[in-house]
Amino acid sequence: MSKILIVDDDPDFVEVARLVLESQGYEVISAADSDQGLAKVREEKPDLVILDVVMASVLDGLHMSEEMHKDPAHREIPVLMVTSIANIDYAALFPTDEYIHIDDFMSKPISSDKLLSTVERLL
Amino acid sequence: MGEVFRIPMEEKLSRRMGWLIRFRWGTALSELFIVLAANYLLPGVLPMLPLLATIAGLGICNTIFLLYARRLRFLEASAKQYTTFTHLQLLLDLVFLTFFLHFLGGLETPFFFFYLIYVVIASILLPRAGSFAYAGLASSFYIALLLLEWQGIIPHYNLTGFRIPVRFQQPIHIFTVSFTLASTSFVAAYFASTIIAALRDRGKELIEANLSCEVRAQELAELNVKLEELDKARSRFIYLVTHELRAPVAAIQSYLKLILEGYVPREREREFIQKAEQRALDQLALISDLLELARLEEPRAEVKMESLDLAEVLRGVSDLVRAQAEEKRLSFRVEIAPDLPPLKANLEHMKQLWTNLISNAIKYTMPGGTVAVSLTQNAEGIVGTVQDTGIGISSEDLPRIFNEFYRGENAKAMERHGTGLGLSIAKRIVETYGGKIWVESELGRGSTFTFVLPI
Repeated sequence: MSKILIVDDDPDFVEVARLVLESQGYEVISAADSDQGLAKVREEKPDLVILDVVMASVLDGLHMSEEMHKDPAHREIPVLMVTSIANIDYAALFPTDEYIHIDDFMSKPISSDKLLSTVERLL
Repeated sequence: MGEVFRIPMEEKLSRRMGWLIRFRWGTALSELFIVLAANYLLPGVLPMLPLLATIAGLGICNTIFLLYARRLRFLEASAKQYTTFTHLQLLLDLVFLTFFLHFLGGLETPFFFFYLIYVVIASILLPRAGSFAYAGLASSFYIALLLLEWQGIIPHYNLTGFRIPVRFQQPIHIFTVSFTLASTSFVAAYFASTIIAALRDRGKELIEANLSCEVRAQELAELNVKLEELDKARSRFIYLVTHELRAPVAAIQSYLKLILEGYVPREREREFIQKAEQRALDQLALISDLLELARLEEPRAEVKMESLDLAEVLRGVSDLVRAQAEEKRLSFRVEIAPDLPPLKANLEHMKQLWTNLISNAIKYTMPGGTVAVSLTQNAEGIVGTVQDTGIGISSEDLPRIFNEFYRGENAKAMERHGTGLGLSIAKRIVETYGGKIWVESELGRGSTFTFVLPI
């Protein structure tokens, strides 16, 4: 069954996502920051990565997705980005779409149905 | 201010000389015209040679003046030299005019009002006293001419066909003409100099206003830059707050939803409910801290200030936290220097400051460690320190440790629950009272927080 890596410094989110995904039979591994995240990507070679934008510093998640994209071994892994920022105004703080290598985007709190359907679609 | 006025002044003076000299060329030409016209109308009446000689004399003088003016400009002469030169020119003008009038009928000439022209010029070029002086001089010159001609000391050139001479021998005529010229001169001097004085004042005001406008513009530009920075900082802060406030609520909602949807096995339900409850408490703490931060933004006037004994405040806070420290088997010491001066401050602020620093120390120190608090004073004011043998702060975290919501990685690892606002609040408090706060720390060895509050 597919392996999913969740990279987020919020343990509650990891807990919740884990429960939902494992109930559908997915294997879930997690990392708390972008360094750990990249290490896990290399070691475990997941089939999908769920990434939070804001971790230790703003745009951490974006940097990690860029790093992943640079490495040809990991370029193909789909990336799902999650964030607490729902308001469009604060999107101004983010760089333009050009360099964001993500496949989809969801805002917290996530709904379990939506998570499952998105994961299914991306895999 | 003197500096500012000097240079344009000299430029102006030099230009004025040019104007005066050009005006004199005009005068000479007009006089020539008058003489030729009068000679045409009353042929043979006027003493042409002396008249032309006078006009020529004026022309020669003016050429000398022109050369001298160029010299002054080249030498960058002072205002004083220019003023002396102006006086010289005006005096000679009056002399030449007197000669001209003498040959043009003397005491019967209708042209004696020409003196007024020079009175007005004097008002424009010279300060007030100068204009009255020339009014007096002009009148004196003409009165002298009148008297000399009347007494026969110098010849009188009669304007035959224009006026009958006998009439003009009468003293009443002499007197009337003198009086008319003198009074008109002084009145003209008065009006002209008043107008010019007012114009000069406006000119000065304008220059000053301009200068202060420039200074203002500069200040405004600087303020604008600050405003932009503040605006950016504010946006960033709001962004952070939004993020931090959503996180616990999102977590609570997720946990509860999960339970409702049946993803949580029965035996783990309690665990999840507890997690949700804990997050709710975190949220409440966060909101309290945010409110505290907001309160600190209140202008000082609205906050209740008292004369506080910081030692008392410290003792009060210590008593409250002592139990916590003991529960963790920490050695808790408080040292207070004697005879500390009182500090004018708000009680709640001081309590919060101590509480935040001390509870941080207790929170991040392992059991068996030490927390030492001291309160003394030095030349700069009252000094408080909170030292611990806790987990310390890494060098990467050190510059950001006082930032809102910032928590070091090791702090998060040790204690999951924390708003990241404790030190920001402490810093705000200290800075509100004009003080400073800083930290020295070594990862794994401990930290020492120090603050100074000026008295």
